[in-house]
Formats: sequence, C-alpha cells, structure tokens
Amino acid sequence: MARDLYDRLKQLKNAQDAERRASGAEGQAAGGVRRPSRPDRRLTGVQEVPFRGLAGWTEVAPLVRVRETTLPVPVPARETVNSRLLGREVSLGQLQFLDTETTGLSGGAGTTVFLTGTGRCDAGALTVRQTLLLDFPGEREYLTALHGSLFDGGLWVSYNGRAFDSRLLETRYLMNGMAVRIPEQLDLLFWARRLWRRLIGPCSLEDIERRILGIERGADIPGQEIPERYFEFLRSGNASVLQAVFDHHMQDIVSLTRLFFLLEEILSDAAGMSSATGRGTVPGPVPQYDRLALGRYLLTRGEGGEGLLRRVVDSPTRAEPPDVQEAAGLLLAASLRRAHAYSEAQRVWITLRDAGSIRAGVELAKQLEHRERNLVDAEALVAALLDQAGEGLLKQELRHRFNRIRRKRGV
Amino acid sequence: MDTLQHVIRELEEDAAFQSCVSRWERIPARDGAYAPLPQHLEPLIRKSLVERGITRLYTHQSDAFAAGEAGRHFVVVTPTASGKTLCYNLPVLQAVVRQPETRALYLFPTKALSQDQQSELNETVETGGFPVKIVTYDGDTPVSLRASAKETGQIVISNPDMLHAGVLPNHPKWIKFLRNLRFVVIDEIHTYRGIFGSHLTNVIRRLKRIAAFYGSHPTFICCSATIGNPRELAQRIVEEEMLLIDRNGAPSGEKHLILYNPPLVDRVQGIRRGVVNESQALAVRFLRAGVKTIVFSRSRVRTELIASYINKSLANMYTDNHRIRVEAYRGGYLPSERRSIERGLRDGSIQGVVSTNALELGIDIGGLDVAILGGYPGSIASAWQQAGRAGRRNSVSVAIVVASASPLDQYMVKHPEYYLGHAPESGFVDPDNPYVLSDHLKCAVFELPFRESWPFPDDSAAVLSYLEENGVIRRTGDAWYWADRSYPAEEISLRSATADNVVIVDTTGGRNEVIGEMDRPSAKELIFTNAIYIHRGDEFVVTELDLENRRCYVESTTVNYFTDAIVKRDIKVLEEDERTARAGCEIVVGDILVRSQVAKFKKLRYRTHENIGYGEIALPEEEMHTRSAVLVFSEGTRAGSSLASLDETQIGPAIARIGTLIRNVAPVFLLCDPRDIGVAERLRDPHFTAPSLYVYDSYPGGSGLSEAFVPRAAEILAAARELVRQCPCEEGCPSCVGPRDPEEEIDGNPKSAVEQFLSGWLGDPGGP
Repeated sequence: MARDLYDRLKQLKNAQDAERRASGAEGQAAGGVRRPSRPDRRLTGVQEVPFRGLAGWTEVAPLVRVRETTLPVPVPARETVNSRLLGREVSLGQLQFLDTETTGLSGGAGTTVFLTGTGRCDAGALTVRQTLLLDFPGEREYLTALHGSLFDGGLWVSYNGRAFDSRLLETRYLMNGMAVRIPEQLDLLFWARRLWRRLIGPCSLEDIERRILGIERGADIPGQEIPERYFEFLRSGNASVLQAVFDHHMQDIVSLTRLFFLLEEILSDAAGMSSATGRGTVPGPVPQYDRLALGRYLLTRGEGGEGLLRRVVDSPTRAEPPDVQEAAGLLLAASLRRAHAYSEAQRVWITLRDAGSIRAGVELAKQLEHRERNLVDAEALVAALLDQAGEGLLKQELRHRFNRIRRKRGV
Repeated sequence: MDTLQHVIRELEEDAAFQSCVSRWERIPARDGAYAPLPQHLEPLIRKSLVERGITRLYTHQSDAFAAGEAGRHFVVVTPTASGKTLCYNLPVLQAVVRQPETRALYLFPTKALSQDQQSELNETVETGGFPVKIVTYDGDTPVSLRASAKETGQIVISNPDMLHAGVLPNHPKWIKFLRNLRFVVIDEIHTYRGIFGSHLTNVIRRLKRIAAFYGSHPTFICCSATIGNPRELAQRIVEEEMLLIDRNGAPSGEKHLILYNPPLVDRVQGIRRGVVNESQALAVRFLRAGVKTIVFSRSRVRTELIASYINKSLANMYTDNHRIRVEAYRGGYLPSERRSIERGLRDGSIQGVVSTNALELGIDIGGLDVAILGGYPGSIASAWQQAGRAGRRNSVSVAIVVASASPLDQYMVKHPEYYLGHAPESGFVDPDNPYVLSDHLKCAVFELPFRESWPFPDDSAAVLSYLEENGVIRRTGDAWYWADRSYPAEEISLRSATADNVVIVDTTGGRNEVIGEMDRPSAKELIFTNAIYIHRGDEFVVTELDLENRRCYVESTTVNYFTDAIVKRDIKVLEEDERTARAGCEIVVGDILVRSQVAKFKKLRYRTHENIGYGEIALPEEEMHTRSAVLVFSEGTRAGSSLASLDETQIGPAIARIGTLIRNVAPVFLLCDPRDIGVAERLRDPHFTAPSLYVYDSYPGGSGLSEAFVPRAAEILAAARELVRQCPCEEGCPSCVGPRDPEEEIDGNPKSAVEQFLSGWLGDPGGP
C-alpha cells in the first residue's frame, strides 16, 4: 500500500518535471513519461484511428453508433394488450423494454451510460435497438441521438430501472444541460420480488432467468466486469472486447420482455381471465408456486386471492416445492377462519392433514379442543401428531396441549 | 455584592492559595461598541431580534452584515460568546427572506456543533415566524429525510466529510441547491490546520467548480477562534481575498487569570499535589458559593474522576440537598445525553461541568463564571479558548490554569510571561501537497469532466496525466474523464482518525442498553476487558471487549479503584526506499509500522491514586502503516561525530529534543500542523544500528510530509538552530527544545547540550 504511495509520488514528481520541461514544446516529453494524448482526432469527424469490430453498427452522430436486431422472441401479434400489471389496455407498440450498461455500478456523477437498449414488439417479434457511445466526448450527441427513441411518449418497462437506469439517464441529461422528463415506468423488479423473493431470495435478473424463466446463459460476462471491458475498448478502439457485453445486454432485454409477458400471464390466470393454463408466450404450465405467491400477495392486500390458493390446494403437483400446497392451504384456511367459515376451513385442514401436514393437524386439534370441545378426538389427534413431530418447539407445544387436554378430560 | 467577588476576595486573602499562584493577571472590563440594527434589515428578522431582546448590534456584527450585503468574502475572529453566529446568520437570513430561492451551506467540524447551530437557528426563525427551512444533512440524517433536505432546505448544515463523500459526487441530485448557492459558512476554521485543512481546501475547490457549473459563485464566510493568522488561514482554505473582521464590539466584564502550581507535598523530591485533586478542590470552592464553573481536563478518565470527586465532596457537605448539580461531558456520550447536559447548563439546572476539550469549541452552554484548566492544554490558542469559556458580558470572571507535573506545565506556570506574552500559534495548510491534491483531482474528475484547471492549480495536468497512466482517468477530446468503476470519494478520508466506533452496552441485570461509544484505538486503551469504565459518574466493569463486532459489554459495579492502561509504542521499519547523505547525516525514506500495544493495566485507588495492583490485557496491537523520514546519525557523518562528543547520558535526550525542535519548526516549512508529524528517537536503533530520529506522517498510509521533509531537511535544521540560538530562554522552553525535564537525567542545561550537538553537526554557526 505505502509502496504504491511512494511510487505514486515519485512518478508524480517525474511527471511534473516532464511537464515543466515540455512546456512550450508540443508533444514529446523527456524522462520516459508518456504525455497525455493531444485533443482526440476522433472528435473532429476525421477518424484517423478507426474503430474496429463494429460491423453492423451504423453511425448516427460522431462517436454514436446504433444497431437494430429483430429477434425470434414470441410476443403476442396483437395491437394491444389488456395489461394486468398496469391495470389498463395499452398498445404493444407503446412498450419500451429498457436496459442500460454503465461505467460503474455505484452511481454518482462519474458513472456514465455507454450502451442503451430498447426493445419493441413489432408484428409478433422483438426488435432491439442498441445505442453505443464510442467515447466520452460524444456524450451530448449520444444523449441527443437517444432522445428521440427514449422520449417519444412510450412507456418504459425495466428491471430495477426506477432506482438505477432512469436515475442515471436523468443525471446524464442534467449534466449535459438537457432537461428531460422520465416517462411512466413499469419496474418489474417490484413484481418479481413480490412473487418470488420467498422462493429464490434476492431476485436479480439472472436469478429470475434461471429459476423462473428457465433460461441458461452460456458463456456470459458477469455484470461487474462490464465497466472494465468498456475501458479496455476505449484504450484500444477495438470493439471485439465488447461483443460479450452486446450479447449480455441483448439477453437482458429479451429476458425483460419474457418476464413481462409471463407476469401478465400469471396475473390473467389469477383473475381467471386466461382459459389456458399454459404460459402462452413462455412454455410450461403456470407453476403452483406463482399462484401461491400471487394469492398471498392479493390476500395481504385484501384483494381476494382465495381462488388462486384453492387451485393450489386442490391440484397438487409433484414438480412443486413440497410445502407449496401446505402453505397455500394454511393461508386459505386462516383466511376462511377469519371470515368465520369454520367448516370450510376445516375441510382444507383435513385435506392437508391427509397429505401429512403437522401444522394443519395442529389447527384441526385446536378446532376439536376449543370449538367442537371434542376432547377424545383431540387427544387422539395430538397423540398422533406427537409421534410424527421431531424434537423441538413444536413438540413441546404439542406436549403441553396433550397434557392440557388430558387434564380437561380429568384423566 | 456578587458571590464570585466574594470568593475572589477570599482567595486573595488566602495565604496558602497565594503561595501557589505564580501570576494573577487582572484584565479590566471593556465597554461594548454598538451599532444600530441595519436600516434595510428585513422587518421579519428585525422583529425576531427585538423579541429576543436584541435591539442593537455589536460593531463586528454590523461590519459582518455590511460585508455580507456587499457580497464580500470575510472572516470573523472574536472571542467566545461575542455573538459570532449572528455574524453569519444575519446576512444569510436576510438573503433567504428576501429571495426564498437562496441557498446557504454551513460547515461545522463536528456533528455536535451542527446540531447546536440547528437549534439556535430554529429559535431565531420560530421567534420571527418567518418561513426559512433549515436542515441538517450529515451521517445521522435518516434516508427518508435526505431527499427533502436536498429539495427544500434553504440553509443546509453539514460537515466537510459529508460534502466530500455525499454531496459533491452526487451533485446532480443537489442541482436546485447548488444552482442557488449564495453563501458558504465555514465555522471554527482554526480546526482546519495541516493535512485536514489541506483536504478542506481541495473540497472547497471542488465545491466552487461544481457551483460554477450550475452558475453560482457563493460568498464565503469564515469564523475562527483565537489563532495567530486567521485571515491568512481563511484565504488559504477558501482561496479568495478575505476581509478580516476582528474589531470585537462585545463588552466583557473584568477577568482574573490565575496561574496556579499545586503545593509541594514532598519538598525533597519536588512532588506536587496532583492536578485532579487540586482542580476538584478549587471547583468545589466556587460551586459551594453558587458560582457556575467549568473544569477542563486532559483525558476522558480524568474528566470522569474529577466530576465524581466533586460530586462526592458536595454530597458530604450538602446532605441537606443544596441541589448543586455537576456533570461530566466528553466525546462518547450519546447525543441525547450531551444535548441534555448542554441544555441544563444553559437553563441553569446544572451549575458545574467537567469536560474534555469537547466543550472548547463553540457549543452553546450559556454563561459560566469560572474556568479551571486542569493542566495546560498544549497550545496557547487552546488555553485562551478554554479560559474564554468563563466570562459574561457584564460580570467578573475567573480562569485558573492548574499546572500538572509535566515539564511543559511546569514551564508554563513558572514563566507566566510565556503564556501571556506569546501570540497564539498559526495554522498552515498545503493544498498542493501531491498526496492530497491527487486524491481530490480524482474526485473532481469523477464529478465533472475536467476541462480547465480552475480552481485547481495550473499544473494539475501533471497529476492528471499520472492518474491517466494508472488508468483511472482518460484524456480524450479536450477533457479528462473518469474511467473507472469505483467511487473515489469513498476511499478518501479527510481525517486521520478512524471513523469506526465501539458501542458500549450495559448488560447489568439482563439489560441490553447502549450507553456510549468510543473510537477503536481509544477503546483498546480505555475499555479493555476488566477495565473500570466511568460514565457520568457511574462505574461499570468491562466484561468483554469484542473488537470484531465493535461491542463492549459492561456491568454496573462499585469498586474503590479505576484503571489505567500502560501503552507501549514501537516502530518497525518495513521498507527502505531511498537512502541519501544529506544535511550532515543519512536520511532514509521508507515505510514504517507504528505499533501501540496495551499489555497491562494499573489499578489506582480513588483519591490517593496509589497503585493497588496490575492486570493483563490481551488485545491485538494497534498498527499504523505510514511513511517516515529517518535521520540516521551513523558513525562518520558529521551528526554522528558530533553526537559522539556528547556525554553518554546526554545523547538520548539531545536526539529527543531535536525531535521537539523539528515539530516546532517544520510546520512552517511543510505548511502542516504539529499534530500531523510524529517524532520518535532511538538511542541505538535495531534496524539502522545507530542513533536515529524518526520523523513520520501521523496519517495512516502517509500524507507526503516525510517526502517533503527530505529536500528541506538542511533548511529546517538550520532554522531549528537559529531558533535555539535566538530563543531568550535559558534552559529550554516549549517554543524551542522543550522545557527542562527533571526525569531526563541530562546533566546541566538541556539547551546547551542541544546547541553543542547542533553546532558540531551543522558546522560553526559563524557568530551570533
């Protein structure tokens, strides 16, 4: 550490000396210290150092390149979609699936956007437009070039865009003296968290891809390495180092698009609006887990959800995590009990108990003991539960219950 | 007649007291100089002032208002309690009331001062009933309030660290604030000396640059306590022409300044009564008479001891409940506790306070009548600042400096003219120190592409091209751009002290309550396992210091002793980078490790402070990796030969005193503060195998001072010799080689030994 400091100081002195020696004389400096490059020729439009590896990209302004790619991602070939996420009908062409790649991840005024992508649904396919900044001095032109496509009255769909991408874009426009208004934005991160956080944890887009969308990325570049790739490109002018970044970025937009339609599908299914149980644009059935997650969400908001939960209870599948049916059933029964629909709740518990649920058994025992005052059956049930339960808090509680029931019975 | 007058008369007639007094200086009362409230003062502000009883201003306040109105940068230097805050609040409030878009930034060195200022301003604003939004933005501001602070705060109160790491790197979020920034107030500017000040200058450069980007050019207002060169220091920090306002218009009552040397208890060995007991005894004398008193103490432990001794003394005498309340006050208390003590002092429910230098800065604690300095605080500026805590506008006040046994204190008390006649120390900064400058250039480039050097120096390009080689920035087109994924401000700390704190948790009887906090290095020395921790007079024993999790568990206890750690420091050379023959000795520049280890502690009985036992401490060493320039007095060098000619017993002390001299002289050459430099002497250094003197950077990682020292070593040493020769003292004093120290076993006069060493080393001085 301190060795670095020493070197730093020494070099600094050399550099200062060199600067002094070179002052007046343009260009070459003595002392082996590399002089900073003089005003970049690239800016003047005459490209003396041509960029390489950018076949397929079109220059739209100095230092700004664009490419459009149409991908065979199945998107509805309709004009409009009745969006459950937005709660209204929107034209598909209005949606812009937005993602950016940046020079840093911590934000702040020194973090720049160098690659911006927007995906649009067009006649049943997804067209992705990527806009690339070739070097810092082109930022103003870059933002100008982007302006038309970003702020054309569309609706942004992003993943963590509220906290990151749109703030960063806003900052960049601000710092370049251009006033913009961030349009309405649908950030799918919120929905993903609501539905899947309990199942998969942090919900990064990669997590969602792997666990929910079933996408495996091949040789993908990790997000944190992206800034360094860009800096490498800045030094060499050779865009081949960025190829992996372009692919990564494209995949992000594809995943974002698929996630949007999956969420729509799940919500339609929940509302009973979808005749199909299929995922439509995304292959595979709507997993029971999604129904559970959405049911729980709707229930806590007091917006129904019982129907969804009942579907989970009534049609268990082996492909689900084992506790999905139990969790859905317990939620459903608790909700029924709150609504004083005791016998309905009891039917749910019995279903779960038959499938081996101890927790449902405990609920049943409570009903038997307190509501029905059927102490004999309660004792028998608790005894069975005691046999089944492993050592722990639950077992202690059961023992306590068992003894109390026995006392009440006067045994 | 005033009770304090009564106690003063008593002391004057007390022969025992008088025999310990080396100087009793009476500073006569001064009338105030007033000016009417400015004519064009906004009626709302006028109304608020009048309602608070302010119908006229002191001349310095009215000068400040005029300067602010004229848009001039200015610095105000007046004593404590002279109404300094009004000097900046008036022009700022005037501007904000007139034009509500106006924004102002207040910077204070500590969070405590920020909070104090917030409540003072709130009071003004509430009394006046005018809508000015004042917000504090610092590390304690909840995230939920931050957005509104940026958007709606008209006066934002913060600190340099937050400006550096929070505001500037995110300036687009502060656009509304920065676009309308008209005033920047930097209070307590005397605290920004040396490396800390050099950092602040660069933070201000960054602020100006960003403000200019948004089209604003704020006026800077600085305030300083007593310091030798306030205008110069302010100009160096702000880098603008400053108007100096030092014509103090506040009246002051008669003031007694007493230098007091505790009585000898052992005449033969020259042992005096301890500063702790003497300070508390004097304080009790005043408190008993109902006089509001503050005692300053040199350490946290002593602060607690003195407070508890005072309380015990009073309890004995006033079992019939005289309701005299005395509190300890120091860093490490919870903010709510500190606020309540400050409030108690202001509203009169607390009559006495014992404090570390935490109360030396401008925290408002109302008027106090007596200040007792339990030991000389180490600098003349600090001594005046502490003494200034006593004194109201119209009544008499007393400040007593109680000398400890240290050579420095003994010198001060025996040479009263030194304290009374010397100008306070000056403050220096060197914002172009390459270490500091390169750190802030990184931040500046991060904040905005770098096109022109202003307000950074013209040759910044050299540093930038170096940074480019390291790959963190990129020059292209006509500017430098940040080209790294990191966030540079995060890695750069403006202060040498570490920010991580250990939280002290009371676990008595199953409780789990945070009662205080302490920085990590101090924790090792003060709250090790089995230590006695005193908190506002309550004793706790430390059951466990868990450094890894930054927690210290304590339990309530009652014992008859307190604990004192024995700290050993040593230095290890890690790497030599450069060895040159220079200035008559060898100078080695390299990396060193300064290690402090607490391995043992003493148990000291209350009151008598006799040692009643030892304990072991098992804690890892505290390490600071830094840079050093080592003067090696090897055989064959002029310095080596000169040293060899000294009496054997004089060699160690002579080297140590060269160290003292260098700390006294080098700040002028290196534009730093004495506290930025560490010195350590080695009679026989195991690494260099010769007598050596380490001069090192006291910032972790180094601050560039060691490197800067080398080329100027000859000049600094020549100036040091000049200083010794011209110093009128006879046997050494704090300004040159340090005062005489009876424990040093140096034969004869230390000053002459040092002079002999220096003249053999640097050659014949060539006549006086």
